Amino acid sequence: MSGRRIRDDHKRYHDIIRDKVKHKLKDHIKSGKKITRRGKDYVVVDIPVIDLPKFKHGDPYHEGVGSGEGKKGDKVKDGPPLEGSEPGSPGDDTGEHTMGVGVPLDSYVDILGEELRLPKLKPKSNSKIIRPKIKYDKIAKVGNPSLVHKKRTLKNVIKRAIASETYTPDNISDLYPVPEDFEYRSWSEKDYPDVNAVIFFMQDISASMGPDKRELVRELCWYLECWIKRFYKQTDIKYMVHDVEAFEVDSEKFYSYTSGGGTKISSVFELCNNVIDSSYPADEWNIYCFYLSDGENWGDDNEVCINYIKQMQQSCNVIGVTEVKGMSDWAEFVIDVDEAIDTDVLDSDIVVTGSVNDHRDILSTLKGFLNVSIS
Amino acid sequence: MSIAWESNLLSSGVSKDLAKLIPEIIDTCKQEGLDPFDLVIEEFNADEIAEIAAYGGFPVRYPHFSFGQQYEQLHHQYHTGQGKIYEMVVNNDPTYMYLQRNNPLVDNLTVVAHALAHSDFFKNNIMFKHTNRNMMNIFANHGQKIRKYIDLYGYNTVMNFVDACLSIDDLIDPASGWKVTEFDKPSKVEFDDLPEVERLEKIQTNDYMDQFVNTSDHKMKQRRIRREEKKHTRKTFPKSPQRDVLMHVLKYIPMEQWKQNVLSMIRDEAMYYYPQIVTKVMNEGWASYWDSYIMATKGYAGDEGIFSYAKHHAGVLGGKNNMGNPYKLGVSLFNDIKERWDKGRHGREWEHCEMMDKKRKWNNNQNRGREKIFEVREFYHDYTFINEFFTQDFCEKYEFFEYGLDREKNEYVITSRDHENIKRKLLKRHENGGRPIINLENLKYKGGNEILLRHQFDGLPLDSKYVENTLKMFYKIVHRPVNIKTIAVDVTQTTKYWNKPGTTGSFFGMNHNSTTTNETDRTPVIYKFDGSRFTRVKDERSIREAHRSGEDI
Repeated sequence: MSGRRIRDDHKRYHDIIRDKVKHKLKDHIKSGKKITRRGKDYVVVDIPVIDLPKFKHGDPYHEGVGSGEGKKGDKVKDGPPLEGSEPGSPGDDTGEHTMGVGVPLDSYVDILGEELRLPKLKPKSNSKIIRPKIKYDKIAKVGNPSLVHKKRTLKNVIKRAIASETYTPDNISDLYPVPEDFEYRSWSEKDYPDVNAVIFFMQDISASMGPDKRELVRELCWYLECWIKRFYKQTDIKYMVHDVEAFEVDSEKFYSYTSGGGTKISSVFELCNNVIDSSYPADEWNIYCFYLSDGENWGDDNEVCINYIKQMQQSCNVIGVTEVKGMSDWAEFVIDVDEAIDTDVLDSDIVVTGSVNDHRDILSTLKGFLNVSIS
Repeated sequence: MSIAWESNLLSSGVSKDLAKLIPEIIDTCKQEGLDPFDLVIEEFNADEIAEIAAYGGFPVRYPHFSFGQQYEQLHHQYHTGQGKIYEMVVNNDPTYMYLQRNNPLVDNLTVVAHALAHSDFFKNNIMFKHTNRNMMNIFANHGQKIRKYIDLYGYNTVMNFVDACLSIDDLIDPASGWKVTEFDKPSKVEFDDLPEVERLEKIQTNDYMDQFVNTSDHKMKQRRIRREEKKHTRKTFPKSPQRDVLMHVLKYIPMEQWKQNVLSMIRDEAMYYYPQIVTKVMNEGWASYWDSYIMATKGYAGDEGIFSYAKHHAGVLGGKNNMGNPYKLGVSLFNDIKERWDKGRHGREWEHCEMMDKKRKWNNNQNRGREKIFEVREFYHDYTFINEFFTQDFCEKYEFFEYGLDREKNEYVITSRDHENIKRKLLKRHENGGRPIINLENLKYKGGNEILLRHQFDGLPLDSKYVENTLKMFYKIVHRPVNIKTIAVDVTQTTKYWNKPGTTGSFFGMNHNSTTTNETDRTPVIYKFDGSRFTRVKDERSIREAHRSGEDI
C-alpha cells in the first residue's frame, strides 16, 4: 500500500473542513470550553460529519427498539438536544453525528493567539548565547559526489572544450567532465544569537489543593506551555512543588503528587531562585515563572516570598502568581503581592497576578500573564 | 484455492504461525459444509488497513473526499483506542480479506474463519446472485476513468457531479439484476414516438350483424375513449411508476457523455453494494456464528488463546443487551434457529401447544438445525429473516423493548414489550436497508419539463431538510425542476395530569399521574426544487382522491 491515494483524499477532506475547524475552535475559545486534547502535538475537536444529502426517513415519533432489562417508564438514554439550545446556524450541517478531528497543535495555538489577541513574546535583547549555523552558500573544488554542482560543472566542461577548440554545438553529447571540472557545493558557518526559554511551574501541593483545583492548574499550564513554546526554539520546562519544603519533580509527578502537610510558599521561591542562579543565567535565558496555589500561606511567610520575588524579577521575563479557587479569608498571598506591586516594591512590568475560579477564567488569566511581557 | 492464497501469503508476509494454520481452518470450514470462493489473504498495519477500509475494501477507487473522512474517523478511533478494525472482506472471486498485523494470532485466526463464512455467504446467498464478482477490477477502472475526466474537465466540475450522483445513488431497482433483459430491449420507441392509436375497437361479428352492433354511437364512444387515453399516455411517462430512477434518468435525460458515464458507474457501484446493505444482519450473524463454532469446538485457540478469543468475541458482540448491533442480532437469531430445528420446536404442533411445561422440555431430536441454517443463509435477506424468525420466544428471551421520547423529561423511556410492535419496528428498520422507497412517477410532469418522484409512504415521513438538499443535488444532474410527492407528518404531543385518587398532592409534587398522547397530522405534500427555490405545497389532488375513495390517508 502506497498510502498515496488516501493522502490526496484525506487532504481534500481537510481542505473542506478547515473553515469549520477554525470556526469550532473559535467557539471553544470564546465560550471558554475545554478542548478534549490528546496527543503530544495535536488537539482534537469534534466537528459534524459531512454526509451527502440523501432521501432519508425523518423521526417525528421519536421511538425505537432496544433490548435489556427494565420496566415500563425506565430511562433508556438521553433525549435529543432541545431546540434552541445549540447556538450557531444550522446551515449545511445536515447530520447531527460528530467526529473527532486532529488539529496540529501549532495551528491551534495560532488560532488561539489570533482570537485572544495574545502578544507575540519578545526575547530579551541582551542575549549572549551565540550558536553557529550551517548554510550551504559556497563552492568548493573538493567534496562529496552527492553535492556536485551540476550547472557549474557542466559550464566548466564547455569552457574547457571551447578553450581547446574542440567544441561545436553538434558534439555536445561527446563532452565529458574530467576531475578538474567538478565543483561542489560547500557550507559556511555563521554565528547567530540564540534564544532559549525556560518555564518554571511552581505549585502548592498541600492538602488544600483538591482535584478540581489541580485540574485547573493543569489546564492553565498547558496553555502557557503551548504559547511560550511557539516562540522559542528550545524550551526547558521545570516543575516544582512544595508544601513546607520544595522539590523539583517531573511533569507527571507535578500533576499527581499530593501531600498532607502545611504550606510555606517561600520554600519554592527560594528553590526557584537557586536554580535560576545556578543553571539559568539571566543573560542567556528567557525565564518565565508561574506560581499556582490557592493562596493560603503562613502569615509572616508572605514577606519572605515578596523578597524572593523581588530578587527574581531582575532575571525573569514574567513572574505570574495565580490564585486557584482562593478562599478570601485565608488566601492573602495574592493580595499581598498585589499590594507590593501597587507600592512599587515589585515591578508591575514583570510581576503579575491572576485568579482562576473555573474554566472560563483560564484564558483571561493567560492573556493577563502574557500581556505584561510586551512592554 | 491453495495456490491463490499460498502465493499471496508469501508476497505479503503473513506471519508464519498464521500461515501454518490457515489451510487447516479452510479445510475444517469446508468439511463443515461452507462453500467459499478462493481466498486471498493479506496482512497490513493499522494505518494501511484503515486506508483500505476507507475505500470499502478496494485498493483502487475514484478520488473523493468522503474516503478521506472515513479514513480520518478510522484512524482517529484506532489511535485513541475507541475501536479497531479486525477484518475487511470483499465480495469478489477470489475473495480478498485483509488482516491487521498487530492483532493477536487468535484474533486473526478467528477473522479467517469469520471471513470464510462471509465468502460463503457472498457466494451462496440469493441476493448476491447477480452481483459482479470481478468488482476489484471494475472499481479500479472506474477510478481510472474518473481521474481521466478530472484531467479533462477539472477537479471541481467532476467532483461536484460525483457528489450529486452519490446523493441519489440509492434510487435504484435492486431487482433489476433479475430483469436485465427488459432494459436491453430498445424501449426508447415508447418515448420518441408514442404508439399510434389503434384502430377503433370493433366488436367481432358477421357482416350482417355489423351495422346493428357497431353503431355510429358505439364508434363515437370508442373514439372518445381512445382520445382520452392518448391524452393520458402523453402526460405520463413511464406508464407505470418505476423503481429504477437512475436508469430512466440515464436513458431519457440528455446529458454530456462523460456525465452519463459517471452516473452509470455510480449506479453500478450502488447496485453492487445493495445486497450487502439488505443482508447486513444475516451476513454478520452468519460469519459470527461460524467463527465462534470453529474457534470454540475445533481447538485452534489453545488453552491460553481461548481467553483472548473470548475477549475478541465480547468486543465484537458487546453485552447481552446490545441488540442494535447487527452482529449480535444476527448470531442470536442463527443460534435460535439452530436450536429450534434441532429440537423440533417449530411447525403447527409446537405453535398450538399450550402447555408451558411440555414446551419447555420439547425435544424430538429432529437435528435439522444445521440443514435449516444453511437453507436460511441461501434464501433469505434481513427483512424476511426477521419476519420469519423473530418469534415471541426470541423477543422475550433477549428482553426486547420499544422506547419512546418522554418530552417532559427529555429522555427516551421504555414504552412496551409488545412482540408485535417491536417486530413491526424492527422490520421497518430493515426494509430496503432502512431507506425510503422512492419511485419515478413521471418524467413528463407539468407539460413534459419536470420530473415527479413519489415516496412510498409506510408510516415514516421523509426528513424535509434532507429532501431539500437531495432535490438540489438531483437538479444538478437533470437540470429541470424536480418534484417529490410524499406525506408530511406532524406530531404534537399533549400531556394530561391528574391527581392520584385519594391524595391531594400539588401539581409539582409526586402525587400525580400523567398520560401522554401523540396526535399525528398527515398531509400529502409535494416538495419541489425548480433551480432556484425549494417549495412545499399541499398535494390537493391526492387529498381529493383520498376523500373520494373514503380512505384515511
